[in-house]
Amino acid sequence: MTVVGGKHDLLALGRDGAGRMLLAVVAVMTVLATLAVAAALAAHGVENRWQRQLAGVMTVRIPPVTEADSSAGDDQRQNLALEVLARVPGVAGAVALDPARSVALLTPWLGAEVAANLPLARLIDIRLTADSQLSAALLQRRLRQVVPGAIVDDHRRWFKDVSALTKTIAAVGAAVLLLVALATTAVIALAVRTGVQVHREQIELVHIMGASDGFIANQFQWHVFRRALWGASGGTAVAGAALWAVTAWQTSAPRLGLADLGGTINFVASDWLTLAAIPPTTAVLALVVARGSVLLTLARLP
Amino acid sequence: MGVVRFENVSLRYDSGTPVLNGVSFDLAPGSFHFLTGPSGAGKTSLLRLIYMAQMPTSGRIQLFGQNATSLSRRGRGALRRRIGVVFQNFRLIDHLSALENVALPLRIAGARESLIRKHVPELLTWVGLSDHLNALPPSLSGGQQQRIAIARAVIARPSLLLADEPTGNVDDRIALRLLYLFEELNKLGTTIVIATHNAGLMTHLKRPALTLDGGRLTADDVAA
Repeated sequence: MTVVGGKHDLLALGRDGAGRMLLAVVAVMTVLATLAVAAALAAHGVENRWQRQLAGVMTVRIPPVTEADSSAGDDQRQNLALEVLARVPGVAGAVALDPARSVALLTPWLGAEVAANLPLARLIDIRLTADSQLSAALLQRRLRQVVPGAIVDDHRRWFKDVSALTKTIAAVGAAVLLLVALATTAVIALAVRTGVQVHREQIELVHIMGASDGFIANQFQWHVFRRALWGASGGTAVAGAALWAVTAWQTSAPRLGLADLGGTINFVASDWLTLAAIPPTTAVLALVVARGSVLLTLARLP
Repeated sequence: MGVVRFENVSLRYDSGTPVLNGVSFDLAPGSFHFLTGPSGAGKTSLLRLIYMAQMPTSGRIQLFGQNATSLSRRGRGALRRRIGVVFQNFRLIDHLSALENVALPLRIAGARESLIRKHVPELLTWVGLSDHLNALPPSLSGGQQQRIAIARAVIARPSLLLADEPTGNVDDRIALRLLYLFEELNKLGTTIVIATHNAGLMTHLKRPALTLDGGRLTADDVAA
């Protein structure tokens, strides 16, 4: 005889089609849920990574020399800026970005020929000391005294927009997750009600024999729990494989320059653990919904 | 205190005519009664009220001294476990073996597996089904299914046994044997109510009868 959750499957729930339907629907729903959670985690991870990378750094942008401004060449202006930066308290170090590197960064997007002929600004990465109180505006004023047009960017405005974007992605992920959970709940409740109808005669029989509502609900809840666990595990495995493929692909496609921009999706151990928690969470949700649905139906019996 | 006490009980399905009308009676502990009357007189409905498959439209039902109509669900469940029922159409679970069908009341009562494995085969052997312990009900004859239904009703040693036409599908020899089983249970203190058309059976055992006609109790030997 079939055993469900350590109990005898008195109602032969494993034999009806509703259980198989439930397994398939939960699997599909879990794929969506896993991808939604993964999107939120990835967005959060990228935001954190950028925040860490940008903390305590600034970038000086020196516009290219134009015909109207011939007082100094690009190299001279860059060297002047480096000299000033070396004397400013709070600056731990300043490194000029090789112009060839700037061209290399743009090449994947614009092509080598166009990128090489573009008048590009010179860039200087600044690393601040840990206790630095230096503001971008103050540094920019000091630099412009010797290098007119120099721009100091502490990336705050850009990061504010990025942060808003990642928070929006996380909110959309949460909304999708909520919708998926609601849909899954509805499907489970429907499957359980169908199961109750299919097995109504047997349920009434054991009810007449004195079985408590909990005894009957146990029959359903463990059956649904097992089905949901199988379905959710399958769904999460499929979604997990897809995510793994995406992360593997992006690291094997360096020409995109995503790694240079810090925009790659990198799941850490806690992210994978969060995704691994989806099947048991779904199964527990299914168990609770199944129990509630059965108890509600049984309440109609005297 | 009666095991079953009906006080002016009426039952009506939806808004139809009453199936039972002002029925009152009192069954003493350890009594043995037949419940008789023509088809449609309300015998099965009366039994359904006793095992609480439904509640009366009006009136009061007391079981084992407790008001069944106002009892909590948990309380009703506990009372139901003291009642064994042999259904007219047996109501065996087709996917369970004879052994598992009979074991059902014990499992519901939370009996130990060792107890189930000991007592259920013994009882099935007693009703002549020792060779069919693992047989599924659809593979058995009507008489064999009826014996499984009876074994299931008595396995948990109920305080009250209700049987709806329990000898309808068996030959006279088996019918008498089953009646003797009921008598033995009765001697052990089980209150028994058997709904039957079989006048010969009632004559043979000479037990009092509740007679229903048109939803009313017409015999007064057990009236409350």
